[in-house]
Formats: sequence, C-alpha cells, structure tokens
Amino acid sequence: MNSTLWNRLQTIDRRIIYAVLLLFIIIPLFIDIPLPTYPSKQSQDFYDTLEKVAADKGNANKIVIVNGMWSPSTRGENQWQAEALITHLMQKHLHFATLTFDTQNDTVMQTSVVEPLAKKYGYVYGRDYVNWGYRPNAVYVITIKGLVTNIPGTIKKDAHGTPITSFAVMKNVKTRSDVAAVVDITPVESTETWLGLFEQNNSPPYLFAPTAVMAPTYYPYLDSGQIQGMLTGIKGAGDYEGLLHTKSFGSRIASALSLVYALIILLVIIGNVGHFATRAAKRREAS
Amino acid sequence: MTEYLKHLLDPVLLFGALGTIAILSLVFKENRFYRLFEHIFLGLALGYDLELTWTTVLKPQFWDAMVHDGQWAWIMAVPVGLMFYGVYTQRFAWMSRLVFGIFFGLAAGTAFQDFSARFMPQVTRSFAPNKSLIPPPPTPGDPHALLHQVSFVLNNFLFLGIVVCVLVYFLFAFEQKNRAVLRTAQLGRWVLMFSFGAIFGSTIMTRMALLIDRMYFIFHDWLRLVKG
Amino acid sequence: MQHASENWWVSGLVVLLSLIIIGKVLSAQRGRVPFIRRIPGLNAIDEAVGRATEMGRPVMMVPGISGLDVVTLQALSIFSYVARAVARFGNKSIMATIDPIVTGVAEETLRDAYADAGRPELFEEGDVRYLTGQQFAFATGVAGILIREKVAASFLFGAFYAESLIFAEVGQQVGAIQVAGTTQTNQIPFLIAACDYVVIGDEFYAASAYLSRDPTLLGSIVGQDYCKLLLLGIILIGIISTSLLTLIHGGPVAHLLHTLVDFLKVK
Repeated sequence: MNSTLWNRLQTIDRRIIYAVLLLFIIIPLFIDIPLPTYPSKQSQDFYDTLEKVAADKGNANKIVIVNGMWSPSTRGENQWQAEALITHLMQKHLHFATLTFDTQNDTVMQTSVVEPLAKKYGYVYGRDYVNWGYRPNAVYVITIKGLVTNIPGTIKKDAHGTPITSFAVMKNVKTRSDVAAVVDITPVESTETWLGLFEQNNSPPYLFAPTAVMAPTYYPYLDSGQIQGMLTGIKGAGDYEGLLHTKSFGSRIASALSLVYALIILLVIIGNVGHFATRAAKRREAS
Repeated sequence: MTEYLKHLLDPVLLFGALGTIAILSLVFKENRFYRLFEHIFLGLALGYDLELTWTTVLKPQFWDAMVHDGQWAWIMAVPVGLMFYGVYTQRFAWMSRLVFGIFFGLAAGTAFQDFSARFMPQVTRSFAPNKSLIPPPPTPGDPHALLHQVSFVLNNFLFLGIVVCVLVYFLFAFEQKNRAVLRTAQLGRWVLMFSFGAIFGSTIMTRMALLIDRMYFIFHDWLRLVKG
Repeated sequence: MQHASENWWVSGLVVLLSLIIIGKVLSAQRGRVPFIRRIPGLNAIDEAVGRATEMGRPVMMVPGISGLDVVTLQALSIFSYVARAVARFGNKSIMATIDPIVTGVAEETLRDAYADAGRPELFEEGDVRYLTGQQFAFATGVAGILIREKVAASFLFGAFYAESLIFAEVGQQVGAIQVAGTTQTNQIPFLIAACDYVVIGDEFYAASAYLSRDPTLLGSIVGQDYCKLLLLGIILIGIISTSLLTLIHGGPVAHLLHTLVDFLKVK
C-alpha cells in the first residue's frame, strides 16, 4: 500500500460519501430489516414514571403539562416522541394540557399528533385534554413562573380563545400541586427554566424528550434526580414505542439508523487509518 | 389524470418535496434551484412569523383584550414597546436602555433562583452515599460483588478527578505555569474532548434521524414507493 | 425564592458567591485590574482577518441565534474587536442576525468600532443584515451569503443550536478560515470538527473580557474563578465526608459527619 492510497482514503469526494449515505438510508425504507431493540435505562425510567403517575389515584383530577418547543425542523425526532407520549397518556387515561412557545408547534402537534390519537382513543377536548396554545418566546420565563401559583390566571384562554376555567379538565387545576407531571419535548434548552423555576424538590416529576444532540449534556440532571426520565431522540421514541407495544416511525427506522451508524464508524476508521498512515509515511520519507 | 399523478402534483406535497430536494442539492453544488428555495424559505418564515404574531398574540391578547374586554390599560404597552426603537437614534437611545435594563434586571433576578434550583442539587449530590470513594459492604448473594465494588470505586474516583481537572482548565485568574496545574488543565482538556466526542456521536443520531425523516417524506408521503 | 425557607444555607451560599463576584468587580472598577491569562484561540482572530484582507474577500460574523442576552452581548463585544481589526486593514465585514433588536445593537457596535479604528466611511448600512427569525431559514440564508460573497474569514460567536454545523461546514467548503466560540456544550463538537479555532465554554466569557479589557467583565471572570474554587471545595468536603462515613460507624466523628452531610443536602 503506498501513500497515494492513504491520501485518497482521507480525501474521498464528499459527494460519493453523501450518495452512499443516502443509499444506506433509502434501502432500509424499502426492505424491512427487523432488528432487536433494547430500551435504554432513561427510556425505561420515562415509561415507569408515567406508569407510576397513572397508578397514583391522587392524580385523577390533575393534569400532565406537555410542553412542546419543537417545530417541523426537528419533526424527525420530536414528533415521534410526542406521538408515543400522547399514546401513553391516552392509554392510561391521564388528563393533559399542551403548551408551546414555538410558532409552528401548535399546528403540527395538534393536527399531526393529538387530534388523530384523540379520535383513536376517544379523547374529548375539554373533558380529557386541553390545548393552552402558543405563547411568544419572550414570555417563556414569566409564564413558567406564573404556572407555579396561578395556572388559570397565567394561561387565561386556550388556543381557540375560550377561557380555560370553562373546561371540565381544568376544574381542579389551580397551582403546581395540581400538576401530575411535566413533559418537555424540545430541541432547545428549555429544561433549565422548568427545573429552575417550576420544579421544587423534584416534584412534580419532570420528564424530558430532547433531540439526541442535547441528551449528553443532561445526564448530570438525570444523575442528580432532577429529571426522572429521558427519551433520547428517535432511539428514545423507538424504545418508548416498544414499551407501549406500538409500532411507528421510531421503531420503523431503527434498521436505517443502525446501518448509517455502521457506515459512519467505517468512514471514521478509514479516514483515521489514512491520516496516521500518511503521517507515518511522511516521517519515513523525512528520515 | 390518474389518482397517483394527482397525488404527486398535490401542491402542498410537491412544494415540500421540491423544497427538500432543492435545499439538499447544496451538498453537491450551489445552484439556482437552491437559491430560489432559500429565498422562498426566508420569505415564508418571516411572513409566517408576522402572521402568527398578529393572530395568536397581538390580536387575542392585546387588541381583543382592549377593544372587546375593556382592558384599556394594555395601551400602555405601545409607548413602552416603541421605546425599544430608541436604539436606532442617538437622541432617544436612553429610552431603549431603560427597557433593556428592566429586562436584564428581570433575568438577573430569576437567575438566582434558577442557579439554586438547577445547580445546587448537582453539587450536593456529592454528599450522597453513592458518591463515596470507599465502597459500601457488598450485597449478600450478589454474584458480581467484586465487579460492583471495583466499578463503584473507579466511577467515583473518575468523577472526582474529572471535576477537578475540568475546573482547573477553566481557571483564568491564574497563570498555568506550575507543571502540576498545567498537566491537570491539559488532562481536563483531554477529558472535555472525550465528552465532545460523545456529544458528536449523539448529534449524528439527530442529524441522521432528520435526514431519514426527509427521505421518508419523499419516498413514502410523496412518491408512495415505500409502505408505511 | 422557593428554596430559601427550607435550604437557607443554599441562599447563604448564593449570597456569598454574589458578594465574591461583586467584590472583585468593584475592586477592578477602582483600578485594581485583575490578571486574566490569554486565551489561545484569540491569536487566530488577527490571523484570520489578515488572511481575509490578503485574499481581498470579506469577513463574516454571526452573533448566534438567541436574542439580546448575555451571550449575544459578549459576542458583540468580541465582534467589536474583530470589526476594529477589519477596519484597520481596510476590509469589508458582513454580519447576519436573527433578532431585530440584536440588529440594531450590532449596527451601533460595528459603526462605533469602525469609527474607533479611524475608518467610519468603511461602514455601510447593508453590512448588518437581518435575515429572518426562523432558525433553519437563517441557516440557509447564512450559507447562501458565505457562498455568494466568497467569505474568507468567518467568526461564529454566540449561542448556536443545530444550525451551527451548517454554518461551519459551508464555511469550510468555501475555504474560509473559521474561528468559533460558544457556551452551548452540544454544539462545540461540531465547531471543533469544522472550524480552525474554537473557544470553549467559559473561555468565551474570558475572551470577551480579555479583548474588551472592561474592568467589570475582568472582575466578574476573576470572581467566578474564586466561586468555582469554593464550589469545588464543597464537593470535595462532601465526597470525603461521605467516604469517611462508610468507614467510621458511631462515635463523635461519625455524628459530626452525619450532621454535616444532613445539613448540606438540598431538601
């Protein structure tokens, strides 16, 4: 093997790499390659926490706040997390309220996730769930702070302009103590505000569904018990679907993800082999 | 026109698919197709933001509250909002600083509570028994007792060592001339790089998931070549 | 404050940390300017601007995608230094912004920087461009500017999210020398992989203080260093106490350690 080959290994035309990557993504979409999935501890904790919340009879009149900060830009991960979450909430007959601070999230969440699932599980708007709607990002901190002591006064109206106090699901929901859990589905750093301003002594349970990119930076919060469970990106969504015994996008693309990771590992190895071999060859030529 | 063709030419799906292909075409070469959709994307995003700001914020919470609910005090938001624009003139810049100052003050005030509630639980986690450098007695009947003891000690020494190294790396008030300090800081930098590698790997998951979602949209939602 | 009534030592600690920082800031403002070591990545700024001037191509600056907050203000402080260097070399700079308020502040910053360097006529209205408020639309716009303007040096300082790799990768494609700095831990790996020089985490604030030589910022950095040492001390006390409690059972020492550990836990 000569140094020209090592150079070529490091300088493979990026268009070839992109083309191969696309093939590795597209082929599993056509050919279903079933792979075993093992839910991670964080996903299991996420599921178990909601199971505990559902089992606690004291939560019958409480709500789960589902905070969505995602938009179609990160739909590839967050939408499937949201779908699995809402499925779980509806399967366990938990009341919930959706809230968002992203301009596009409200429409996408309601039309693509909540409404189809509500039809499937017989959930009725106002009786079983409510949509608090969109608030501008500028009032994010003030809104979270306001929810601690006065939820009706902070939210006032739902997404359609109806006073939230007129809904049966909001009848007994006044302060933080009437919140059974908070689930944050987000591609941005919204957790700090919830943990800093809303949570007290890890109550109510705070569950986190970020994009995979953010997950490693939140392990300290998992370790300290501030976050009780985490769905790590699309893998977390797939784990959650497995635990719920449902099959959606998260489970579907597990094979495509695995193939792509294998390709990337191979490319990293090839690139590094080329790099170190080139360095060694240069040193040999110099001596 | 066949049903399939009608579906392919559905304006919403077609626009989404062409937009996806146009933006992705940048990875091969910058081209006019990309530029066209880039500008459409920018314009759409701006227009959508404006529309949403009016229909979901200004109209229901400001205009309707004033005109229909009689809450005329909301009109005071207008001069306060206009004060922001003072930043564009020398004469009225002081007005914008007043408003910025209020926002900064609000942020600073909540930062104290935020810091306590966010970071103090992590600091005091070091007082938990599972952070001890000496392992607790092994659980009777545990087949992997020795392994658990060793990993317990190793994990906690690593935890402590890494915290010290990384904090030393980020000390700026002291010149890092002393060899011990310098080596500790270098080790801290290496450890940071390990963690960045882990984050890089996680991020690849996100990027690939988003790309797979786009391909799914094209091949399943638009071309209907893939079964759901 | 929600924790004050139950964890008064936490409140006390926060007050102590604040007093340390305030003390150092006041000390710096009164003339005792503290020492801050030079951040290695800062050498790259002059190198990048010089290289862009040699190539006759503009310099691009992106102050992140958050609104007017601490991180963006620090980024603008660094860009003020960059803009002065660009003006000294007689080159052109472009700044892309995502927030309308930041646009106004950025224009003022650049105009002042060019004036400080004695070249106010070089500043043009179109140098600071508000593109859009949407994250990925902004990324698309910045990528387009990088390619069309054939930028030779790109500075990415501020709060970035997923679009950071788009900026860095496109900048690399056009051959720009890239210097980046962010406090977002999960974006640093991409900037490291795609940029030439990266300022990591806390170094970002130190860089801003070092370049601006503002006494408040310098004092704040030094105060924070003392706070870090104090928190490190608390962590060490915690781990050592907990370790000793595993060994020592009963007796006055164990009782003292138990009291200490119970007192210091956040309830």
